[in-house]
Amino acid sequence: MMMAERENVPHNVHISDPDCAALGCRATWGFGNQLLVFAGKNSKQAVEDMPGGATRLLHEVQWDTDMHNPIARKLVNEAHNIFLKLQQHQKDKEGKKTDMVTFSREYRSVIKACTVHIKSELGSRQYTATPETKQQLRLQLAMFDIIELIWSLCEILFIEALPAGIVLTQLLDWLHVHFVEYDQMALDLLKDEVPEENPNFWKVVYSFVLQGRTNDAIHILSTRPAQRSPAFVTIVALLRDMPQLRSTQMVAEFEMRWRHWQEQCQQRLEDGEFASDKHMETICRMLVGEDEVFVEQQEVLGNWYCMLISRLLYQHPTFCIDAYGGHSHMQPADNIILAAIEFDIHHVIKESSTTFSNWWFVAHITDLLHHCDKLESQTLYFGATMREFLLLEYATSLMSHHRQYLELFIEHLPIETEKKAQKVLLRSVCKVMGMQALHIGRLGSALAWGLRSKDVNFASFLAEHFLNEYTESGHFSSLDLLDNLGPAMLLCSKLTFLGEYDRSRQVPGVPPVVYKYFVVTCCKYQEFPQLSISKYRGVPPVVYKYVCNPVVGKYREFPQSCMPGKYQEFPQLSISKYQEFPQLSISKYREFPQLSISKYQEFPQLSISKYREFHQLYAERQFRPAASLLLSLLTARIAPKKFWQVLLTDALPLLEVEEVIFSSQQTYELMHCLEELNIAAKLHPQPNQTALEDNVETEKLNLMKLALARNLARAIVHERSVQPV
Amino acid sequence: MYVAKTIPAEHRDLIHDVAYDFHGRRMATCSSDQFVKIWDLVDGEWKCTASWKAHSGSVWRVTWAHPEFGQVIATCSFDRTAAIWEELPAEAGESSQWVKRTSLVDSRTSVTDVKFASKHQGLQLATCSADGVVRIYEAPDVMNLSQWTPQHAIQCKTSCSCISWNPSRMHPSMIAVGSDDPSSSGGGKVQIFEYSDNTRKWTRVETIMTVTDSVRDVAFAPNLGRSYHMLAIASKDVTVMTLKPLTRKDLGGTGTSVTPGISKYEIHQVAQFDDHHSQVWRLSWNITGTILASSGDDGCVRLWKANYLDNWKCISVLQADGSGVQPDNAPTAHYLKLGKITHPSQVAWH
Repeated sequence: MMMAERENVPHNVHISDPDCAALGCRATWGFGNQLLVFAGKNSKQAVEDMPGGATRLLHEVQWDTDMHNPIARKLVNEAHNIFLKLQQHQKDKEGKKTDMVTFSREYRSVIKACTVHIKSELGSRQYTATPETKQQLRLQLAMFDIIELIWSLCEILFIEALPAGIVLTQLLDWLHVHFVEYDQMALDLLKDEVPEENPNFWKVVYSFVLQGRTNDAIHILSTRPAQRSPAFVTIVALLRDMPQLRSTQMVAEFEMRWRHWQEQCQQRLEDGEFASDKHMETICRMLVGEDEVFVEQQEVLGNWYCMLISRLLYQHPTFCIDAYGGHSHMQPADNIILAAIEFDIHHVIKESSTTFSNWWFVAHITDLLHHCDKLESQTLYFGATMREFLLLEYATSLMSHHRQYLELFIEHLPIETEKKAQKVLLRSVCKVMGMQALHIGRLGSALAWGLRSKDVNFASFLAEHFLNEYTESGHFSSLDLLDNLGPAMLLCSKLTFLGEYDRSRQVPGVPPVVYKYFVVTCCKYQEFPQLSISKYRGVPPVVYKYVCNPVVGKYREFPQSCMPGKYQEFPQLSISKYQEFPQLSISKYREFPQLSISKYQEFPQLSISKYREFHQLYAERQFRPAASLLLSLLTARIAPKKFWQVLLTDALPLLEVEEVIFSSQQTYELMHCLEELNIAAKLHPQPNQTALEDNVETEKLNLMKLALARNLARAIVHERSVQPV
Repeated sequence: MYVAKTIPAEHRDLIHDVAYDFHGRRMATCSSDQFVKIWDLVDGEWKCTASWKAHSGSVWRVTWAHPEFGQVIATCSFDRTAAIWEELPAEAGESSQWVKRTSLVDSRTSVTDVKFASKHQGLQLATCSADGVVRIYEAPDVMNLSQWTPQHAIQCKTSCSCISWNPSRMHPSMIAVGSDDPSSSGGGKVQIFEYSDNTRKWTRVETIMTVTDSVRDVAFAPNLGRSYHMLAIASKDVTVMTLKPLTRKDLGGTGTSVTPGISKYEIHQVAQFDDHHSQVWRLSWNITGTILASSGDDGCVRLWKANYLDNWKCISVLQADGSGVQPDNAPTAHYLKLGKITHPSQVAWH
């Protein structure tokens, strides 16, 4: 069947289901090449005319699945590696052609490895597969053999592309490597006592001569007992003298020598030197390239392209494949080889697409040819489009198998969408994993996924979960993750809060992002006097910044030049906007259209991871840094109000240690916070709070007030900041 | 191409819809028997892991939300409601539990289709009903699926049978609505609505006038970086349309006054097939949007595909036959196309 016909006839598959036949079908796509078919009917009349009683059936239809078995998957994976290397290969490098040939060889060796693997699998005794599976493997083996055959032909003709004429040597090699039937026969007959009596003897000799393997032919011939006959000696001499084409040789020189040698053969044939020995005569007729002899030896030649190459070897004239049955008797694979010999790349690819059941071959060879700039040179204006089309097709067939990585799929996409897809996919995959982890209550791994995808909303949602957990149980889960958040903590404000809460020994090596946070804190104190304690205390902001602010030390370490720059990144508008809506969650914050998201992310707020840092410091008895951090968490006013209570309670033990930890100014700030909380609680009383709970709250409040008052007294005495009147 | 598995569906009545989840590893079926079943692929076999009576009427359609919102499905039914269901975490070895998160009861007639928007649009759901109203719902908090606020009700003024969201992320939200109104005088049966961020309203941007027979399914193709949208329509034919957004520059030349905020499209019919010779019921695109499957009353499923030169043709036909006789399924069928080489010996010439 011709290709055009093959392309146009749709592929028919039967599904045996009476319901489907009677009522009509519905189909839904699955993942990749997979359809689910079921019976359907106009919804309005469905119930009445149902063939009753029978079970409803679902039919899963698949195709292009032959790359799904383990052996073929190995081929897919290895080819993928070569493919990636090929994509990274620089375009205008020296020695490009040799590189391309190397790539092509790599591909071929992968195919070869695959066929060897299948053969050994079929041969091994332990292999206990069903006959169907074995049959499938055998078919696959046959297919890979054809693929390799065509690939190497394409390599010779399109990729290596030596100057005209020298192709012949390669083609002969191609024959030698792929048609090994006679080599086996030769080995067998050499084992015999009298090789000449073997029925295959002359076949082998002829085939070697036809393939131009003169040395092998002489070797076989010399096993004959009738060695000394003059005809034999002449033939051996002629065979030995046959000019061999070497790549270093000038083509013209070769042609001259060849003509001379053939004339010699012709002369001897005409002189009747071989009249006594019919076999010798046949060989000589081959050497002079007589037409009839190729027709006579049809059986030995086997197929038309062997004949073609033999004829090319001895005759050079144009060939005619009609002697071998013409187009009508050709196998699909023959068509591909014919197309290759006619140098029609497009046709090769088209034929291959319709012949092979998988896209592996066409996708990779097209890609390779594209890299060799062969597609454009063949005036295929749609060459590049076709390459993408085929790659996509191949990728789709892989996707149907759930174990082929999605990554593979993205990488095959056209470049302009690749980046986008990768981003989207990564984020989406992470979110799905995160949701799964959350679903089964594993907050830690959920957060890890959230961080990986830099998903702000999801991370703040999880951070809130952590805070709630802490409020309820008094300890964090997933400590190791929280401790090692690093720069990731700035992803969202709540997370920063969590980490900062117990910042640790790493003070000397605090990542720059943490500094950024401190700088912003400072700025805020300056710019929003109504919110900061500086106004409250009547201290000029600058003085306050250097004297009172707990982070001053850090701030000094920070290169001066960076500060204004950072500061300018937070224009008034954004900060004040933000301050106006402190109660809004982050996701709401993002809805303000006047603030771009990027600006938001530059704006590091307090959050969960900071809180965690506080705990670490506390555990290491670094009370002063811990206190400073705690205070900054409170005074930056971005921690959720409901969490202030917890923060203040955390401050309690620090107020009670023997040493004075909080300075008087810091104590004022704490008192201010407590008061604010108190007022808020009065303004918005909890509706369903019991009297008992209320008592506990009051108790706590009083305890807190007492501790603060005592600490203030101690601090004042310690600092001698209040001069006796 | 071959039938890999045949699964007894265990539904007591006709199945109306089957939906694969995002990863193709789970499947939901719904039926006239008012049940919804969930199937999981366990060791290569489909196992029914949940089954429950979801509605008090035929369940028309079932659809999965993107997995990042959890394991969530939506169903719609003849009982005039649509419902959202979520899977509860199951202990190892237990069968899964699905709970109804909400019932959407705004419709006064049968709810004929339900679809989740693509993930980038958040958790949004569109329903359409026989009385010609398309409703858009949204879950403002994706962590709380029991709250769905009706955002918009679009009057289509004709009985609606199907809807499809445009999956493109480069474009404002867009839906296509098909009508199964039997009168062919009613004009175009497919309307396209678009959401405008400025006016916060859905507006009709196009009506496809060439399709005048009742429409049973519409499907936007997945968009892998294409500059235009592709919509397949099932009526008595299969029609594929492309919608190419017109830029301001394109419009400037026409000299007509353009309402700001409303997009204009250049609409082309790229393919039309009458091969089914009967009502086409269902359309489905593959993931890459390269192959379209159509199925109809003739008991056939046809696969349509465009090559790289954009010529559409039928690449496969799945034909149901009632005889119950298993056709000879030569193992060659999925190795060498069309069984041209039916025996390995035919291939080996050496």
